[in-house]
Amino acid sequence: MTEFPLMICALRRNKGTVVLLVALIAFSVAVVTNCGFLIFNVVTDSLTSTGVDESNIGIIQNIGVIGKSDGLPVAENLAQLERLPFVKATAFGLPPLAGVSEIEVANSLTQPPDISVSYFEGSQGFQETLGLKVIEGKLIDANDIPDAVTQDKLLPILITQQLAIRLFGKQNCIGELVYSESRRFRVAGVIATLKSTIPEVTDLSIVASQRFHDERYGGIYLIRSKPGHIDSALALASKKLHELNPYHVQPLVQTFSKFREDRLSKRVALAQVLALLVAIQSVVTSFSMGSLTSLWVTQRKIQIGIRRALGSTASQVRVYFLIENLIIAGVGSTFGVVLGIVCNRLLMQIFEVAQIPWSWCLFPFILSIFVGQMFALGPAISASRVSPGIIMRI
Amino acid sequence: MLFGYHLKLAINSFWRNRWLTCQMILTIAFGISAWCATFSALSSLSGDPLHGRGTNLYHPQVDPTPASIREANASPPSNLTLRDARALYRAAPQNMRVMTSRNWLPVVLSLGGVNQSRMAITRSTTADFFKLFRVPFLYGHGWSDAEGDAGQRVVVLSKKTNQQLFGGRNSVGSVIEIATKPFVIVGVIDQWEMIPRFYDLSDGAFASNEELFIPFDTWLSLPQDYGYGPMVCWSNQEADMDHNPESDTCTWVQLWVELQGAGFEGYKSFLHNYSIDQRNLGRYTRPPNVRLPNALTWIKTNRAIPDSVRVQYWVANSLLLVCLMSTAVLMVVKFRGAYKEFGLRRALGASSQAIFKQLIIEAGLIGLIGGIFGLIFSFFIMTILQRAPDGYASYITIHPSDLAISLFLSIATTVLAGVIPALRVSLNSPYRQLVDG
Repeated sequence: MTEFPLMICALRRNKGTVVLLVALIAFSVAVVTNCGFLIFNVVTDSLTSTGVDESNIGIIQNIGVIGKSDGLPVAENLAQLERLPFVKATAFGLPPLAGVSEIEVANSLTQPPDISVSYFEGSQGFQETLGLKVIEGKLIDANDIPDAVTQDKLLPILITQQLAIRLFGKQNCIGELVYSESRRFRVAGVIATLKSTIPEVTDLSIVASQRFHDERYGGIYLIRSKPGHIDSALALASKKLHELNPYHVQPLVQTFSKFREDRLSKRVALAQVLALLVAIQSVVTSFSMGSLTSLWVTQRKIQIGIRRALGSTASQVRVYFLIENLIIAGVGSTFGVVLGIVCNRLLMQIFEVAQIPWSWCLFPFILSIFVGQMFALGPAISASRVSPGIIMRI
Repeated sequence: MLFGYHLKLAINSFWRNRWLTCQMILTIAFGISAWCATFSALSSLSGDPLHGRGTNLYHPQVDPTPASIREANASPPSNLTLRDARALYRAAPQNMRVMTSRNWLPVVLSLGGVNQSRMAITRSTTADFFKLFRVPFLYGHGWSDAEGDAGQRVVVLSKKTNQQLFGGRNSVGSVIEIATKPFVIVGVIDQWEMIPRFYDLSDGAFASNEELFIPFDTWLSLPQDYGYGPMVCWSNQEADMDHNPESDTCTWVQLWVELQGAGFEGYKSFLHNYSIDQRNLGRYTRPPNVRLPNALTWIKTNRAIPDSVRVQYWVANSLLLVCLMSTAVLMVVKFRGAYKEFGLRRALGASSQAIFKQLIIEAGLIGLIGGIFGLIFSFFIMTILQRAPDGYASYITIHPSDLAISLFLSIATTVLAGVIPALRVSLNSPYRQLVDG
């Protein structure tokens, strides 16, 4: 590290350019920090499963027309759909990513219900249609599902592993009671995960079922097909439902995968555009960094020659330029990360953006230093090839 | 000509540093292309959708909410209760005004002889709508105030719906079934889009277009449970929260009034007095809290332009800044490479201003060429932006004025980026330049 003062001295001689380069890197890193985080979130959201058997679920919205026949009761529709070929299970209720409500619960009556959770509810067959699998306890027994009309009932529920730990500090909580402001629940089983769209409580979920009989509601029917047959099952189910309820309208008939894709599509499109802009920006910044290092090598050919003549090895010269670049990229990236975080906190007040954790900043920081080193490598190698004989030509 | 001479020198210097020059041109081109495309997208969606009349169209807001419930919210609700909307609508018969809302209703179509229902996006509105927003008609016309007030079952179709239901022929006089009731078609509008659709932002300013237009009172009296647009209710009584359109504790009606010049002040004080009257009657509990934004202010405060478009624009701004800083770095590199030449020219009598001028012309030329390439690339970026799965995507395009602004920006900013490197070179001593070069 005896070269360190030398480097500082060399950089000070080019202060203006060094400041410009540091500012350029800082600005780039700040943008990459913010856009990269947004892109990262979209990618993780599109890859994270909601916890249900997504590829085999279909959704049919079935709305009644007021003034016309009410159609069949929910239970009858469900029974008819269940008999169709390819259909494994059916339910009346909203799928994850759509209808989920947020309620407050507690683990005892003496506590005020202050733990926010995502609440999913459907008819009989809901848990089977979603394809939920318990890791503790068992699925809600069909005989235990109370009628929708029953008042003040004890609803059996499934809860996610995270909620089990949050409520009871442990995973094993079968049979425990959970209370909300107006209802009581009994934990029948624990499922690994069921993601909702409500931030903060995304994996603190409760699944409940109620039995429908003669109710004639319009709403959403879910079907789960035998693996790989969702398209045929959905088409058959839509047709059947229309036959059974000729005056109903079906504004939405979609597989869950398509439904999910549509919901994410706007964010994916934005992420793609931002990825393109950030990529251009990174390339531009990297090339200017490379060009400047290259210039410095050319400018200092004589000095390099002298050092080589005085005994420096080629690798020492190479390392010298790489470390010089490391200092500039390191300082620039540090400023960049701070600037990025400040921008994020400001943007949070204008747009709906998530707060960037400091740990995330390691990614743009390391990336910037790595790219800097890659682009400095060429000039550094050419510097190490400068012949000591060059000083004879001064 | 001295300018010609500088230009010749600049071109020579480009040729000598082909790689660096290309790099600078590409850098500027990238920066400008992204800026031009995102700026065009933003400006396509901004602007006055009424072409100059946006400042005369006002959105009255009064505040019927009790202070105890909405303490935190200083501004009145966006929409009106039905009672207020009717009162304000009736109070200004001399002005063009519109009372409107939106939902979807089942309409029966006959496909291959089989009757099938589908949901159609429906706008309920009073008669002035078509005149106020200058809606062009393909066949027939709108309805009259009298027809609207009488709750007659008449409907105006959009061009697309007419195409779907009647194959595009003149369907005026035909009858269709909407929400179980027969409606007579009185008009079919031509292709018409309000960008952004400021008069109802509840589903977003670029949501799907309306398919049916029905008189407000007729629509309200239909047997329906399909929502009444952007209804917001407040009450401690459960019954009042039942999303009842007639309720005094639910706002959902949008009202727009055209006011000319001095009419604004008069109308605002009318709203103020109306609020005092309502308070005296015991309906309002708060002191008068009125707003009267015009269409342009309304678009701005409600952020009708999608966030994604604005985010892209700001990221493109930062990309442009990075590209300019990179160009400045590259200029330092390039000018440094020509030290000997500058030293020689200075030694032979060229002034530092002459060197500065030459470098600035060089920078301007790079800005011009980079800008031209940028404009070409911007069409490519625009096709990517237009692929966004969002209602606004079909409205964004690059206008010639956007190209002109971008080209000017390209030259101006590149010259600006070149100023400091050029100053450094031109102020350096010729001796040092000859020795260091």
